Amino acid sequence: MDDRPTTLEHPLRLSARVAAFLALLAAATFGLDAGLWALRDRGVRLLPEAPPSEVDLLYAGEGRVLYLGDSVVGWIPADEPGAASLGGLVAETSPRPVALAASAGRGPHYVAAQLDLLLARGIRPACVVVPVNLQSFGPTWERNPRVQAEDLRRAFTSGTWLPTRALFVLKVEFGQTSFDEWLQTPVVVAGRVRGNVRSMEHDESLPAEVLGGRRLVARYAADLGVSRWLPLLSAAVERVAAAGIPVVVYITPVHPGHPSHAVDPADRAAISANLDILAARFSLPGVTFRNFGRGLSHEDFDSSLAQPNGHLRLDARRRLAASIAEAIRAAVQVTR
Amino acid sequence: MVFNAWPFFVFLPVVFVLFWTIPQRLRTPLLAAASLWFYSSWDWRFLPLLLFSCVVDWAAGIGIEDAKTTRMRRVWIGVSLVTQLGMLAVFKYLDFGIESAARMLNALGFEVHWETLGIILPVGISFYTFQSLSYTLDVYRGSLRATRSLLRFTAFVAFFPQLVAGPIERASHLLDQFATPRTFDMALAKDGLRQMLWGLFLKTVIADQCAGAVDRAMAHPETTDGWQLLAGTWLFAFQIYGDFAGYSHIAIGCARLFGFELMRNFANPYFASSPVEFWRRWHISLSTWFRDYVYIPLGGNRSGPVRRRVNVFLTFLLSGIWHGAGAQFAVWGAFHGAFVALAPERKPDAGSSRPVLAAIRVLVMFQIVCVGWIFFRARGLGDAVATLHGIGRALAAPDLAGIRAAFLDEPRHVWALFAGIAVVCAIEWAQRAEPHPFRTLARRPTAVRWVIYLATALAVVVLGRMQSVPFIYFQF
Repeated sequence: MDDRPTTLEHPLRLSARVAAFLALLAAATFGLDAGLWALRDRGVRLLPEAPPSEVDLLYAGEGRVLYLGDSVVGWIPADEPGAASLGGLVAETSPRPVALAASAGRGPHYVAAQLDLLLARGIRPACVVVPVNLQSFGPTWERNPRVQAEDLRRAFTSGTWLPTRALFVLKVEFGQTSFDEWLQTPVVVAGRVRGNVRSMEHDESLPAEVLGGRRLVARYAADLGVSRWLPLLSAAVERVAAAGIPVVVYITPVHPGHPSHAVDPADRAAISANLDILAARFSLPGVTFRNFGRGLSHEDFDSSLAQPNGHLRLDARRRLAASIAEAIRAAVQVTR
Repeated sequence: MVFNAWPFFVFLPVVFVLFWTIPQRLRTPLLAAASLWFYSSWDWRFLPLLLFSCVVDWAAGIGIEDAKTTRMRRVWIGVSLVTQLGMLAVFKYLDFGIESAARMLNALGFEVHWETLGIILPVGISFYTFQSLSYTLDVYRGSLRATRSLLRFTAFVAFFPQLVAGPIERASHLLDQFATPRTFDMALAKDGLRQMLWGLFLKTVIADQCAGAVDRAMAHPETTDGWQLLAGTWLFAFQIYGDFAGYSHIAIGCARLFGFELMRNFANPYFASSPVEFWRRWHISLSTWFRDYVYIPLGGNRSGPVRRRVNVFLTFLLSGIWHGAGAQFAVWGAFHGAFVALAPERKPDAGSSRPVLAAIRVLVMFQIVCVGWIFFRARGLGDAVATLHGIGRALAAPDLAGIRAAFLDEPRHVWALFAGIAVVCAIEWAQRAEPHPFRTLARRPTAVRWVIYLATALAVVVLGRMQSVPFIYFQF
């Protein structure tokens, strides 16, 4: 057998051509991306998914009250057909037209990316409303790989859509937490490990009131010191306020627990301490801040015994909407 | 490691440059090592199984060739068959067998509570066992010399481009290529890259985008509108084609970068106008494997027309069972077996003088294939029957609103999927004489070529699906 190495001329020439093609492809991708964004800034959309439809929600906020957040904003209980969501009620009472850009499962990292995109694309709402849901900073949500919306977040943060999309088409995912890893995440309350996500959030074999009690603790009492999303969101809020856009930040009502949940007083104290941490973090210059975290009864919430969360019933939504509208009014007046 | 994810785009250039840099004598060891590494990236625990399969059949090949008596030759081929088919039986069918037996005994009134063993199916086992078996069977028949090089044999069985989903190569075609010094062929390598690009397009743009719509349409066949089930079935036909033909194009193109030629696996199957022709065009490497190692040993067409039909039917039934442990796969195989056995033999070009008739035949054949796909896609026979029932109901009472909702469903862009499929069909029809549609680009001016390459790659970036969709045939 011929043992001499083959000349490298041809393989290297082919490699060089492939490299040139990839460079051209990258240039075309970035160029096309810039073109799509420029057209989008002028209100033109060419492709259904580029940029994504969720960008439209932000553009709709130009000159309006842009209401961000998660399912707490859009929730309508199954037994209240025809009733308005919290977002809809705020829209009815707000001093300015409201554009809703809230989506279920979207965490604070996503809201932070939305805020950054507003600044990057020069979209100027009359006011931005940022609900702060304590539950979303705990391990049950912040580490949950199923609610990361990582593609959108990266696209919004980087301001590029197609290059980000290309990475996801080719499955470039670094440091993603797997579902099993997430289940192993410890739940730390007042410096003490109380269990992990599997035992505190996902053990469906437990009776509803026991599981509900555990979930309440895991969702609302877990230490905020390890949260990555909290500094991310507060910094983004600060940037938007510094840009002269009126911002309303409010802490969403926290479920106080059903009587049968039998929550330990120490855990209640941890929840209260967490609300204070949030209040301190978002009492920022140029931000109209409200703390609605305390004060509602379990009957104000539309949640089953096993699923304590921030979804509200109509009366509570009405009361909260009136307070949010008042905060919007205050924020807009302050800026004037 | 899959062909449409970034680790492969790092792995491939590294192996490519190394392969053409090192001396000839080290190239087969490099490919063997790279292939084993590629396989272990799926699950290293199954690497010993692959190596065991290689060692047994390598030894069996030598044993058959060196055997002094017919009995010893039979012993060695028996060792190979028992090992390879035994591995398949344990890893692929044992759990299904336990479950089915328990269900049957319970139905007969016996109270049994047998637990399945939770056996994980090693990726590619159906492919590499069949490839390995083809070697020992060819040596046994005397049509192939046994190789004395375990390294070369391992490289042949584990060759990474086609290890996990084919094409199922024959030793007579591929093994000798490992023994021949490889010289870089620029034209072959370029054509390989073009074929890979087309395969990547079929997988990420056509198959993966269809996958979402198919999953939605077929999730609950009992309660889904018949027109949506029909749209889902048609889309699945192109999902599985884009997925598997896409994989095959990437595999063949990838092998060409190293100077290897793999057999063609797909030849525009949906342009077939008869069941026989379809199976000459779909998963060719498997169809010919069953023809050579099952149908012909059963007697083929040597024992009269009735026996020929029985042999055809049995071959397709086994082919269906090869695809998976489930009654729906057996029914799928039997369905095609019945059609092929009963169909009159026609030449592939018959009717070409009457294009309208030929087009009608192609469309009818496509619908027959789609009926088969309903069984193939279903989670069980119940789902398949519900799908057929739903489609039948819709066809019996056509309703414009239902058709519009199923095919022009705006928010889900179903119409765009069909438009994309139409474009692919037009390209493949225009290039039907070629092994892949991008081959003739070599004859086009450079600017035209590069614009087409760029447009295809941009289509992958812009339209490729972001969520992971595993290659369908990896489960077999």
